[in-house]
Amino acid sequence: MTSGRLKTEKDTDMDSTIGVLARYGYLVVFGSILAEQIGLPFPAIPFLLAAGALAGAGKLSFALLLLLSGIASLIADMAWYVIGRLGGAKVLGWLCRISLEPDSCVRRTGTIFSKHGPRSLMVAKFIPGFSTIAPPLAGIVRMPLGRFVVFSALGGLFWAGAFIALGWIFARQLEIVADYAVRLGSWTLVLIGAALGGYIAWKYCSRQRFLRKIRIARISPEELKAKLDGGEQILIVDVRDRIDFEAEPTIIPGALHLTIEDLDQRHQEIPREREIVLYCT
Amino acid sequence: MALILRRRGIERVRPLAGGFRAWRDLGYPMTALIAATETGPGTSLDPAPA
Repeated sequence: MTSGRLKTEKDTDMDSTIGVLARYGYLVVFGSILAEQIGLPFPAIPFLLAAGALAGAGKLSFALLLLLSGIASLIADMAWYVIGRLGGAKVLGWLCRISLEPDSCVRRTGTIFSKHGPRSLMVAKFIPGFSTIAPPLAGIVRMPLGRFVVFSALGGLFWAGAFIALGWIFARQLEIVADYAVRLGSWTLVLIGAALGGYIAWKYCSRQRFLRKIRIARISPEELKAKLDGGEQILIVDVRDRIDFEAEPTIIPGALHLTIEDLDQRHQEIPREREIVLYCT
Repeated sequence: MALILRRRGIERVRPLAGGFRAWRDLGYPMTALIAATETGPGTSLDPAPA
């Protein structure tokens, strides 16, 4: 009797959740994509999956979901494109500094972008870290606006479409997950929060450890300048990616420009007796 | 990268604090990339200075 009553309450909760999603689904999908693509820590994927499941049940229109997703994504991308275009290389540096993996951030995103050009915008949203960096990067390298809009819109549609379709396909499984979530009630939020918090804390600690290692042996620009003025034979290596040169095509006088891959492959040619100073952005 | 080179046995390697931006912001000399690659040490890692 009691369990029957509880089940009914849970079912009501479930129905009301689905009801809210079915009613405000378009708005939720639009808002969550806009928020996530602008860079807020707000995941859009769970909403896309849920919306896909509802579309499969005939409660939402797949085409309208796709259209709204594309528009929301493009609005956010356009904002970042304009910021990148106006702010130049500074924007990329700033974005990578606030990222949890700043050291690989600039290099990795720059390499992907220089290799695949505008087409990389079509897959950018599937690559963590790159999705936020790609639109301002397109602005920094002054990609023509028309080309940016086409590739960015296609990228947004592919990305949203893929998750909506997954939600559609796995509607039954999602229903089971949602049912469990309702049963757990507020514990679901606690679990998700703990997992997210743990992940961020782990990344932060790794970064701090890495910084401590690097900080021990850095050379300041003042010290390098003094050594060069004093005639010391220092091998300076510019390891900035090609994309950074396009944004700022100057180097420290006498520096070699080598990619990190070149440097790693040719490390045996590097003179052991000379002091080496590396710099990136 | 400096850590990778150190693991490869190159001990005297240090990253520039603040990177290129810090150098530029202090108003220290810079040259155009094209001029440097044409007349500078190029891609040779020979110990002899340019």
